[in-house]
Amino acid sequence: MLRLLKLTVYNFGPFKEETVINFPEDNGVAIVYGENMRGKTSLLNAIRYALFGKIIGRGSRTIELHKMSNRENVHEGVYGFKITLDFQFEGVRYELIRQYRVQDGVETPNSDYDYIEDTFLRREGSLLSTGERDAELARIMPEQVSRFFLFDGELLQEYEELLSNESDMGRRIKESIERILGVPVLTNTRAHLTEHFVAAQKAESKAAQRDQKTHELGVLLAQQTDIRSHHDKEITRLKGELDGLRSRKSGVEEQLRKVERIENLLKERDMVESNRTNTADKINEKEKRLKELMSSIWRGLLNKRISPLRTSIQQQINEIKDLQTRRAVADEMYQRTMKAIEDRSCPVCLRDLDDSTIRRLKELSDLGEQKDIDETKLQQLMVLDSRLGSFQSSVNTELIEMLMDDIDNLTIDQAHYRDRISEINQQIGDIEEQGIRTQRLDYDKLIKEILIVEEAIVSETNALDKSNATIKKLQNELDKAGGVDFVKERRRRETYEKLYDLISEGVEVYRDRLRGKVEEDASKLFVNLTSEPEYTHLNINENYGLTIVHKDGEEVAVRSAGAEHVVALSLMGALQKNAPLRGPIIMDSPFGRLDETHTRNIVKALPIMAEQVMLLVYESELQPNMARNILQGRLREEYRLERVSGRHTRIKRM
Amino acid sequence: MADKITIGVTQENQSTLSRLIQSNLFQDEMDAAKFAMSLAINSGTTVGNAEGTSTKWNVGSFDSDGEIKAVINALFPESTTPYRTVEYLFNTGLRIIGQAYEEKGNFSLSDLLQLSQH
Repeated sequence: MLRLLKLTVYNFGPFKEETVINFPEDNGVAIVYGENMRGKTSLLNAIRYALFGKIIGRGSRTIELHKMSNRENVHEGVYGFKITLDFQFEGVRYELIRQYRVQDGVETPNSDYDYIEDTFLRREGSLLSTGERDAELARIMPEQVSRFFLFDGELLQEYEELLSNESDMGRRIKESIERILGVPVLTNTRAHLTEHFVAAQKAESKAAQRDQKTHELGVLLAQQTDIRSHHDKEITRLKGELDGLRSRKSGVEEQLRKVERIENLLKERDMVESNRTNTADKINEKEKRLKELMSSIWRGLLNKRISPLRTSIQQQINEIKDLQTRRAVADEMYQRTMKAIEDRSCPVCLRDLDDSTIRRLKELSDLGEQKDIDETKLQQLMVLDSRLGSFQSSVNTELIEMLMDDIDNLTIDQAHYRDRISEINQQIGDIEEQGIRTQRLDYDKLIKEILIVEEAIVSETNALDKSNATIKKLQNELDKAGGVDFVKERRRRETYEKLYDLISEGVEVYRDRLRGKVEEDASKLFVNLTSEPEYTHLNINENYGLTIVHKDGEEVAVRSAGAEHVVALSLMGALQKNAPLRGPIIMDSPFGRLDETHTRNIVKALPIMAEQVMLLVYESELQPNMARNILQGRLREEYRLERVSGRHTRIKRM
Repeated sequence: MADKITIGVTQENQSTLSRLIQSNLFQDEMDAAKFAMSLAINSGTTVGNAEGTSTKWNVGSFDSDGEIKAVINALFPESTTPYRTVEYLFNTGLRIIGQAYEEKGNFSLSDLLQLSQH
């Protein structure tokens, strides 16, 4: 079992100076209290970094290591960090040092490329070689199983993946679980037996070839064994390729999950952009119309001043025209009178006119001085009247105001569209649109490749089965005909074959039994942790995914993040109990989504979940008094992370 | 006094004119100046002489068909220099608008139309 003894961090996260945490020697729980952003996750990451050389951020993304140097020290020109983890495994003491330092010749490092990492592992004081170090660390704590020891409340969705048989992550987690439970020991044994079996078959065929009676059969058997071996190797190669492709597919799926959201954002942005452009066009159109109206508004504004003026002008025009008419009539009368005087007869009745009448007519025809009609003035007045007529149109202020309101409303809409586009661009960030399309093509291509490889595996497996069947047939023939040497080799082959079958069956039985044990232990733990009395136990699937079962036998289909928490902790506790590979459980903010009852239940169960437990919590998540009351003698150490500045934390023993 | 061949605005009125253009209501400064001219006439301004104006427009381009001259002659028969009067009127109008900007800070179209129909 892995037992942590001491963690020393220097210049890592908020830990500016060398900071030491001594893990209690006795079994029990240690608690580190710290408010948000004080360094709890950094402590978890320090352990993760020491063991695996990695640091994980929110959403399981890997963080660039150079960003973990304490920022205050960086401003003072001190770069890099060092983590030392002292631990014990199977009674042997180890010191693991992982140091991240600036490369020689680099004055101001800016990226991970400017750094170099040194890793040392001492076993009982003796420094191990690089190969020994890596092998030892992989044996003590393989990275794939870290999620069952280093628990981060933010990574719950990983445990949910176990519920799906289709999920690649679920498959990987299942492999990790089986790794902890020791299944690989049996599967490796089975693989070794296969090798012995194949070797025994080859020996069998060679023995058959030596005997004249069975020579031909022996040759055929050797050939068929080679063919079978080829198919076997090909299947192994294809499975490795399939693993690689599935791993890449998971990575691309993860990217596409982000991309799907971004694709939707891009579609929305296109639509909003189109609306914005249409709105801009409408605004331009209305502004143009408005300006056209405003261009001639100055005429309409003078309407009131011009109206009376125009009335006067029209009056003058009418007066002159009246005068013109009267003059025309008078002229006509004069002409007729003069004719009558000349003809001395009335032009109407044609009677002769006497002298007195003619004298009278002469008197009347004397018109006196005639006033001249000013034609020029009349023309001018008419032109002016016509000109002023264009000013008489009304000022269409209503239309103008309506246009302005429309423009204002459209401008507001446009501002909304612009804001939305800006929000979307912020959410999209620096992601290249072309890159997104390429990812989608890559994904489609990967799916096709996986399909091809899966089909190839099926095809090879069929060929392998056929080859095995042929081998079996040949062996049966040899059994009937075989000599002494051959019999010996045949017995050896049969022994290995039976051992192989026995181990294979054993693997399945062991798996089922293990799964059953994990289900049983996880259920017991779950019932202690949950506050819901109607939940009676957990059901386990092939992938070690756990579903909650109601007392009426129905599985609870949808569960909250809080329930997920409890189920995940139940699984962790059950694995600890059943696994040959055991270690401490370090939990970062495990109670964030849980109510007080669940928190109490979990704290109470901690000492039975693992021999060594460390909690990284904030006080409102777990009150120190409550923890002390519940754990009592099992609470071995308490620490508090104290703020020195926004980027500097010290740890203090409580 | 001879009539003007080129007309323009005072320095102070130029900023008011610019502000009117920025309001996006007018196609150009000429339209804004004509609006100011009508505003001045409606506010009771009569003939006068604007001092300190720049050369902005040729009267031929400001009043291409003689329409403005005709209406000024009709409204102000006492004036013998119609374009001088035009210049005085639109400068007066711009000054009134400028004062209103100072008092109100910002103008809506309604405010402007109300001012112009006073």
